Amino acid sequence: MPKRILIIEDDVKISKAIKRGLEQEGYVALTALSGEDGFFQIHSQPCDLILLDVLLPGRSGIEILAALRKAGRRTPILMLTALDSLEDKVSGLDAGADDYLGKPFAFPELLARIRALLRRGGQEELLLLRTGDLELDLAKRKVVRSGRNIELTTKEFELLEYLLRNKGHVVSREMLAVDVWKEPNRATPIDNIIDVHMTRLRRKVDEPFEPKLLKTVRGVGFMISADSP
Amino acid sequence: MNLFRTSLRIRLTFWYSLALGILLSAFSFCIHLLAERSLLRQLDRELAGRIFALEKSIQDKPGEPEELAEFEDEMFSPVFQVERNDSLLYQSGSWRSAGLVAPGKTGPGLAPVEVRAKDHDYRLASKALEIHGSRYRLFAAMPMDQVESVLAGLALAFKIGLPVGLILAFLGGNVFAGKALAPIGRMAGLAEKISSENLELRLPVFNRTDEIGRLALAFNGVLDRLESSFERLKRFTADASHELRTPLTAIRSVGEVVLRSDSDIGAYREAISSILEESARLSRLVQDLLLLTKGEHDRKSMTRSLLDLGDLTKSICSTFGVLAEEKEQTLVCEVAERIPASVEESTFRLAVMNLIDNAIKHTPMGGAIQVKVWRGASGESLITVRDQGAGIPQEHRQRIFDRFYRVDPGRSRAAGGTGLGLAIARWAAEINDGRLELAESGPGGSLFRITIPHALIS
Repeated sequence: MPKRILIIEDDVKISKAIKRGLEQEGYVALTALSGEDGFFQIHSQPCDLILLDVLLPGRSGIEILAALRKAGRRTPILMLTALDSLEDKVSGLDAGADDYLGKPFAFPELLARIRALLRRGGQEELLLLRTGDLELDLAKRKVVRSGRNIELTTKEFELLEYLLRNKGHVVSREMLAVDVWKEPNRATPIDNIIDVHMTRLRRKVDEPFEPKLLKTVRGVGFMISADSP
Repeated sequence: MNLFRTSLRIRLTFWYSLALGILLSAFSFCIHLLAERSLLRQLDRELAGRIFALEKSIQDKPGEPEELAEFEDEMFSPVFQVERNDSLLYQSGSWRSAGLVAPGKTGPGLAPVEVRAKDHDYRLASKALEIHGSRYRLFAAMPMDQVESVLAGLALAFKIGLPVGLILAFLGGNVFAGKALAPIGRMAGLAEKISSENLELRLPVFNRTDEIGRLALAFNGVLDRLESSFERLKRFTADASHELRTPLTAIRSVGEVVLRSDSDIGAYREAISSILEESARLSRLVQDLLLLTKGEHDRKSMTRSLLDLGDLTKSICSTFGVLAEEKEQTLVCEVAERIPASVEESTFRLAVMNLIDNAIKHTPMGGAIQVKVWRGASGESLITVRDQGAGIPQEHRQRIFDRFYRVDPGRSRAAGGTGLGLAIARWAAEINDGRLELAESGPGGSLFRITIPHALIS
């Protein structure tokens, strides 16, 4: 059964784009363009996750959030906002948001956060990640493709692991910077480093083999997938 | 009273006149007192002379009333009385007509006293003595009229002169205060005319050392700083618009071109990818700019922790090692000892990362980059990054930390930079109470240095 996601966002363009993107991923997306409408929809039909804009006409996202939590609703909520300061983050999380994403965000990152929130508490950590004939063994820290052992540096191993955990989904440079390089600050000059590692990983994992698994989605990010595009 | 509160001139004049009034009153009072004392002393001296003459005359011709009458004639009707053995011996005519009464007690040389008789004040001197076996008491008096009239005249002069003087002083003071304060009024008038449109205006400074001159100088100093920060802001806005316009133009033209004719899906894909790349660049730019606007307020809310700057720098060097490898450069990180410092990790990393990134970008293929962390002579922590770039020409050194400033305007965009690297590095160092400066620069390369003062290491 597809998961239902409610998008409370007052900008029609953004709302539409997110709706289409989510539908492509197989979710059922509902939209509300104001706080009141959103609040009404939450109560009239169940949903599995709410994307909530902080700056809304009428009722602010924080108010809606607080009201929901007060009413005992535990639906996961992902806050979206252009306010990027630490206090806004803290007040959002204090009011009961489960995660927080600043605008402008990369769509792959939004999808990754949604996946993380929806499977929260479920799914145990896999120790053997696989795509096509590529296999990554976390316990032995070994990577094998077509039966051949591939030597990777620590960073390359972490990068591949992250791509495999998100296999079939695009990961953005921001996601890699934060999750693999642990640089929470987005103003870091780390994009070139990511590109270099990506090139090296591709040389080791993809170059001697067919089909190519590592894909670059220009302007968006990277993806590992056994299906041809 | 409203004028009193609003006009410094009136206030000044008022206080000045009040002070002058108090001073003049005290002065007049003292003068009056001194004049009185001196006149009385003179009177007393004359009285003493009379008593002495009387005594002489009695001694010469022992005390017959006729003798004393003769004495009275000689001395132009003095006011006196002589008693012998407690009974009246002689009273001068003027004593009698004045209606004076001798006091009961007299010593051998009693101080003169004031007595009043028939609406007139007299100064009365007395003396008790023995001559030829008889006890005499001598009294002499003089009217106080003259003394009193002199003192009254003096008092009158003060009563009239004081208010007149005060009024004159008030008027004159008002004029002078007005003159002294006029430059302030002119300054206020000029200052009101200064706006963002004519920040180049300056107040005239007539005397650099007096208070008004110093005020004008200080005000001009504020204007200097304001003008230069305004200038920087203008330049920044112009630069920022330019930086934003470039990706916007790319996005627009790529979109327009691909829509002009029916293109195949590959062309659309290509166009959209290109648009996404540019918009990623735009969001990076906006994010970096937002970061740079964070200041004092955010500094206070930062959570600092005690970190070893050596470890931090080494980890950054190992992260950036791949970039150096790609350019066949050697990136050396030297750490002499543990250098603990209290900093906010993610912002401080930004400073070091941007410096190392900058060094790798500017060092040619095969060059060397040297990063050093050590403790300075006065306990400060130092991180230096030496590159082998072309060096920064003297005329650019002041401005390389400015946002969007580029020594070579053509190259950095192509290299993927936003032109904000060094600005962010300096911002990040400063928000952690440190300093970032260009320590050396020449044809062999540049040396950037971050200094964290000793006070923060504890």
